[in-house]
Amino acid sequence: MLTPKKLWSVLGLLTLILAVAFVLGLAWGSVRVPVFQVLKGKETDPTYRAILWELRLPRVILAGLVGWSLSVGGVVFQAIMRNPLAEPFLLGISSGAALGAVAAILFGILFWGGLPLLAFFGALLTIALVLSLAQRARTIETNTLILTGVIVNAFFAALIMFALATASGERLHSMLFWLYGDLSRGRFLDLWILLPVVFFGSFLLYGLGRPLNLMASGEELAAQLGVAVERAKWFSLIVVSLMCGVTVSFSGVIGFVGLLVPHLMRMSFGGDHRLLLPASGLFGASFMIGADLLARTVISPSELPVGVITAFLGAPFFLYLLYLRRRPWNL
Amino acid sequence: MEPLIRTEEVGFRYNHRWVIRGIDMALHRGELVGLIGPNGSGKTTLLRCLGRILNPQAGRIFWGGRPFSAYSRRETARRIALVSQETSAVFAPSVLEAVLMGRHPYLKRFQFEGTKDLLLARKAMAWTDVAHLQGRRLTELSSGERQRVYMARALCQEPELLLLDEPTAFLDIQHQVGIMDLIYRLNAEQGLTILIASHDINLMAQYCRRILLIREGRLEGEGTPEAVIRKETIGRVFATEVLVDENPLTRTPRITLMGERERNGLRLP
Repeated sequence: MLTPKKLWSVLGLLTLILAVAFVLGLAWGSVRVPVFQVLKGKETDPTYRAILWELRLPRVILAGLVGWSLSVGGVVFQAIMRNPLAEPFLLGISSGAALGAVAAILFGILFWGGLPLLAFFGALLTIALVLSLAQRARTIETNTLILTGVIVNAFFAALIMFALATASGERLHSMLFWLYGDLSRGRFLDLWILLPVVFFGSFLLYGLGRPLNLMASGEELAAQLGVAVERAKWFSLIVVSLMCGVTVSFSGVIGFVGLLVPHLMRMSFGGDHRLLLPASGLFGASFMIGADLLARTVISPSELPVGVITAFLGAPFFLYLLYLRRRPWNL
Repeated sequence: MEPLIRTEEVGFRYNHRWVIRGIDMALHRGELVGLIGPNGSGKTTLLRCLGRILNPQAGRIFWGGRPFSAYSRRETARRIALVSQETSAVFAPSVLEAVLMGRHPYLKRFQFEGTKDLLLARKAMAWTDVAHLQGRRLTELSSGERQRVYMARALCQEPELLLLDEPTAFLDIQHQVGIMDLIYRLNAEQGLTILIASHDINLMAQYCRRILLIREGRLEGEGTPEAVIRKETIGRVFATEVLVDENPLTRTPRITLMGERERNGLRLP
């Protein structure tokens, strides 16, 4: 059973982990800055100042926000679809955003805001398409929804492949980088959009903590206990899609985080969404900062797309989960 | 006296097919009523309408004389509990967590379960004899144990009306009697009003003082077991020939199914 004491101690621990990840994410990289220089804040040695506060800080914050929102989105989607394989990209926001981004690169719309804007429109259109196709008389049957999402994803993937096949050189490289997640574009300007969206979205979703517990156990049960099930479904689908649509537009497609982090948290701390939501947010942020750190350093001074790291860690974990599912209570 | 719950010409349809139609029924405080009828006759749909999971497209349902629409969902959830047939949970909660879910309609949005809620959950678990299972996951239990956990959750909801959908399905005779005795005690000792939908006509006749008979979405009969469970009525509604005699212990009607051989007189005295 979840008590406030357990909630706060777990969140305290995860905040600590996030703080460590944050400092290390700033300090390490192709140029290693001593940790105490990071802790000095504004008093940092001028030689490091530009690297820390202009290059790395926005990037680390971007990574954290992306990890946070994808993980929170994953928790919500898994609960309302009662499906352990659900993640925020299931309904096609990623492929929609990717299509928008690829189009932006293809047509050379590269001024600030152009690419994310197009990507966001792509995500928005996709989610509108999927929801309107999947609903019947304004009710959403979750299996229909999942299938619709998968099919739309596949269709958009074909369009993206087509764009990739016809692109070449520098453009192809940017497209591929975006498709596997690219945090290197992170600027302070982006954060002013992302921060409020992610925090407002998370706050709205946190209010659904107990209803999500009920819905994860069955829609009829939730309805019987006074939850307006259809309204809660629409609300959470739209909030998650908008929140993750915005983050994806700035970061590119970063897979597996939204799948992996919720499962990790559920296995560690139990299935109560009042804890699961903030815990996944905090740990997702730490995980993403860590993954980005690896992406920057593994083949330094070159960089890997961060999606490579998350999938590289995510795929073995996923197989491990499938192995565990032979004993069903582990979920 | 104003009934606890009353329906007025209630009808519900999925797409264009009416599953129940023109249902007029009432339950009075303290009653224990059985709802019987063939497969697909609309028992579960009626229960779901009464539990406010489905909104009927025709007619109205009144709680204590006021229509459902006069209450919020949370308000009705504090008065009516529905235990439905088993649902599969992918993310299985523990028994205690599952029972505490019954407190949902009493808690504010960000409120945690307090000592009172925990106390009620423990009491409910003691009633249904699942207290020793409280740390186990739902998926680790037998169906009999799970059914009792769902009952505990419904009790934790502190309802005035308890709706049960096939509470004894899939249970062996020991657990059938256990659940029915629990239902009987809840009704007799706690004064809980209970409506049970079941295929077990004999159990309903034995435990309930009133029976509702439903067929193709319409109410076909209602009254005491003796009035409703008759050879002709059951034979017509279920399209099956039965022998009706008397339960030697309770003097309530008892049915025996008749197969082809029995109908041909081979086993009849």
